[in-house]
Amino acid sequence: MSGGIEFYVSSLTLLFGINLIAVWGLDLQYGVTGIFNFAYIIFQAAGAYADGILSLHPANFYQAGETYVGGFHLPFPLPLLGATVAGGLLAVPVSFIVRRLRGDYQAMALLVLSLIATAFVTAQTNFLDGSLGLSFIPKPLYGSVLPASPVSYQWYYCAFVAFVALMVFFMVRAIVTSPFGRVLRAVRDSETAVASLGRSAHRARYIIFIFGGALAGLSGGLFVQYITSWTPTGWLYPETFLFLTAIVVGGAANLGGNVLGTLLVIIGIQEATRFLPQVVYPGLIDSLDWVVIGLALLAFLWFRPKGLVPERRRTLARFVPGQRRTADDLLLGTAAASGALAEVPDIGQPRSDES
Amino acid sequence: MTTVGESGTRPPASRLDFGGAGRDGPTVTRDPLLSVRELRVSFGGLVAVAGATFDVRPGTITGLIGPNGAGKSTVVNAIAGQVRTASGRVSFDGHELLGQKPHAIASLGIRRSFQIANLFDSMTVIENLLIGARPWDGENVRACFVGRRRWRRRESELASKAMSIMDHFGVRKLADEVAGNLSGGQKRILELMRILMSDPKMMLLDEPMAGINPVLVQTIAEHLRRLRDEGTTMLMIEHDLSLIEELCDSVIVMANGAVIAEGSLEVLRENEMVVNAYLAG
Repeated sequence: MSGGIEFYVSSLTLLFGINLIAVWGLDLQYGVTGIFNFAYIIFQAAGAYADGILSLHPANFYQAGETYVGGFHLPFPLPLLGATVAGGLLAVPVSFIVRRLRGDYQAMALLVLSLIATAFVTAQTNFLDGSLGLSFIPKPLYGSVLPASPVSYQWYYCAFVAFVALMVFFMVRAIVTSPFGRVLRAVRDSETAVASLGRSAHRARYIIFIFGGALAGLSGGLFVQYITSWTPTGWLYPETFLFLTAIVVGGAANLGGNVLGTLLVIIGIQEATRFLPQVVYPGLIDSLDWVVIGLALLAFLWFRPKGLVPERRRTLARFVPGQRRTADDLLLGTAAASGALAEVPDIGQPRSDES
Repeated sequence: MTTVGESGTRPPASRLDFGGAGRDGPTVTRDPLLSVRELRVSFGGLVAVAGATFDVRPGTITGLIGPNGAGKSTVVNAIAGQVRTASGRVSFDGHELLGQKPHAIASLGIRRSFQIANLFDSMTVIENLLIGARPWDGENVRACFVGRRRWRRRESELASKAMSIMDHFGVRKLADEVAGNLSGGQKRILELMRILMSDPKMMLLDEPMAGINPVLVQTIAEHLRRLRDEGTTMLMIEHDLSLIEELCDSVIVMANGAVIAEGSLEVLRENEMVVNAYLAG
């Protein structure tokens, strides 16, 4: 591959991995638990800003007229950890704001919160340098451990993002396939019923709000280390809908569906238009991105609300050992093959006596 | 023997003489499991429950009857903690219920059914049942990452319990069906089965038989009676008086948000006020 193509491919791979982490985080909230987090992008922004502040020197170090709080110049991977924590921490007060709201009202409140956050950060120039934002955020290990050549460095970063995404995949899947995941889906379907069965719907939502926020923060940190700057225009509220469209198109509450949705919507639609000829006036095609994404969202909500890869139906065989080895069992090593489950009596046999 | 107040005032609930019609044995004299005192619920200007007072003794099926709008479902909702504006006192097994969260009340061993079956519509029948089990440590976040083998084992135990319950009601073949696709009657049965998964101390049933075919009604009635004999206490809203007569040890009659009479159905049938409430309601 020539250097240009190689750079392009590795950039797309990076964007795919980073966005996928964010999409999984949002799907855990929206698809699995039924939280309409229309402010999701602010959690990604919190992660990006946190990563920036933690890896940059203090503002006066650069003598460039920038003004922002902190500047700790921590070594990799601490800024990334900080980004994850920042996303999760931001979820605490935000979940408090929306704890009493459900459905449409919650979505509205969060959407407004997203707008307020952008306005606030833009106006407070001392906080995160307002509309100028943070720039020259160092790429981790660039030129020290890893090569200073942009293309080969990018492949290393790609590998790192792929590794993180894989870890996130296993974590998210561990959650959705566990009994806790079942509680989450139950919360999505009926909170009153969940409460009537002795589970706190509020607690489950709270945990997932924080967990999803942390994943958004993580993806924000990974993203800002790649693009090295971060301004309020990078996290305007429509970005949340980009993630949401990826979820709806691919299939909510399905990790594989999320992969497909991210590929088609975030990478596909956005990148495909890059190769279209610029017609009428420059920038028109780019703006049409959003029109196409909006139409895709509407079309899927209307004609195929479950997405391309619908949520899996969890059948009885899943809970009865020995009947079927699922892919989960093979991957997670929890199959009945160990024999530990063989002791359970009377599985699969209708009981004649009433007990 | 009983006076009824005009709407707005609180009529005293009188305990009618059982006249030998009540169940004999120790349950009659035991302390109530659930005791409701001066329960008031209003929604804005509408007084839905105006000072209801009654007891439910342990190991009995107590019927809750009354015309539409009498406040029966609101009483059940208030006991289950799903009404924020309730005042008065509701005590269960030594715990005060009013002011507690619904899930905290449920964790005391109270399970309820809803007037309109309230299921997890996108989940399968078996999943609906599994989540009906008592909360257990496999549902903690930590269990997502550690001890998977242990909770898998517990989960398959729960699944076999769910299967035997499904067998009992003859709906095993629906195990993999999505709850939202079930018929109205099947939804009610699923809701009841979901309650049974937790072996509750007390069940609050809001018209559990509505929309269920007569043959299955008998199966369910039989099951409820057996649960009662095993010690489960029930408060059941029901409009079918023959069913009430067949199942209930004692009956509470509500009208206009108040308890107007209490006792066995035979005695209540003679009570002019009860008859009027039903006819006028």
